Amino acid sequence: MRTRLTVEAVLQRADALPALPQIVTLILDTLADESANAETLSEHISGEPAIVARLLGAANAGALGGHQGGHHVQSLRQAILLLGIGRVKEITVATAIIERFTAKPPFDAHGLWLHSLGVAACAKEIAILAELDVEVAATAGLLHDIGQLLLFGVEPIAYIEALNYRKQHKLDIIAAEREILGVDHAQVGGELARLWHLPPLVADAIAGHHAADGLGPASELADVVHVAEVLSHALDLGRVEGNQVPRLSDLSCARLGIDWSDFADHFPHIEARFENARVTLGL
Amino acid sequence: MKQRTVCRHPALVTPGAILARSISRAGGGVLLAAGAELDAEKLAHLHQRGVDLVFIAEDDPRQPAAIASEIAAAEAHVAQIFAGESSDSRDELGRAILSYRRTQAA
Repeated sequence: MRTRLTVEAVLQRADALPALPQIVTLILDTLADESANAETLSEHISGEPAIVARLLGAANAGALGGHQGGHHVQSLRQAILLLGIGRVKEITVATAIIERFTAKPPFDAHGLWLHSLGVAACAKEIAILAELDVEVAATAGLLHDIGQLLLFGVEPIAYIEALNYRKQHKLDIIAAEREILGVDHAQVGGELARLWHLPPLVADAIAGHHAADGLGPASELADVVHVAEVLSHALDLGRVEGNQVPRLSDLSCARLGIDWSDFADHFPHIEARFENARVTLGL
Repeated sequence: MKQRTVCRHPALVTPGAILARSISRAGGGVLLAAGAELDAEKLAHLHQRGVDLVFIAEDDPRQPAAIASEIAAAEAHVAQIFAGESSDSRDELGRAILSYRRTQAA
């Protein structure tokens, strides 16, 4: 059965998802703020026990634990100093988002976040090449499929039907969603990001991360997220069942100046960073 | 025993591992030379300096037949995930991944 949704109708039911955690907005507001220091971050984070636990876990991970003057890191402030502000922001945003946005089976929220973490890891490496903001690219990568969670929240039965339709007809996900629902997760996710007042660059990247009709996405950051998503499938990050490498826009690769034989030097870095992020976030 | 090089975050390296590639300082010069043993203190120090990747040498006890079998499996897997619609850049990516997986498996 076909369901005819519009982006507007989906957004009117955006309360099918919880609100964006306030800590994420605070961190995103300080992404470009060089003056954001350990003190400010510590104030924001201290009231979030799940995040504090993840940061302490990361600071004490593996061989790192027990070698801070012979003691384990026990305070948030120590953890921030050890991990560095960039890494703290990254762990904070990812923990807050992944813990807040879940979905009941049969939707595979764990798989979605594992995939999103892989896209974020690829987006960071590609952003360095493209000389774009690495943290903004990672955030866009992490949130690129948020529209899937909203569509499932609004129309769970129809959304699962779209996923099954995709498998049966071997379609890409955008085509299957449009066929069954009338809208796709990229459009919906982009508009949800605007509703949440995320930076316009991030919203545009979420909306444009699937290349349509052989044309590339509409912004440089959308190019990054699009290419990062394809690369995450190619590297099999998260080991998605039935993994297939999606269509890759030649235009996006050309605009970013990617030569895959040169970029291959980054593959081990991406895999190692993804694995560390996966372990840190308990996925 | 044959060895192979793997890339890890310092937090995921077991103390006692041997550094396979030198680590450079941001401003140039060598921070830690290849061949150094990474004890827990060195790993924590690298992490504190913002080094988030190290290449380490691992013993590789596999026999040639096992290596050949892993290479064949890696090639088949890449062919499977890259089946379907192609484009110039997707094909180029597929070749880069294939070469990377062959090197990894070997």
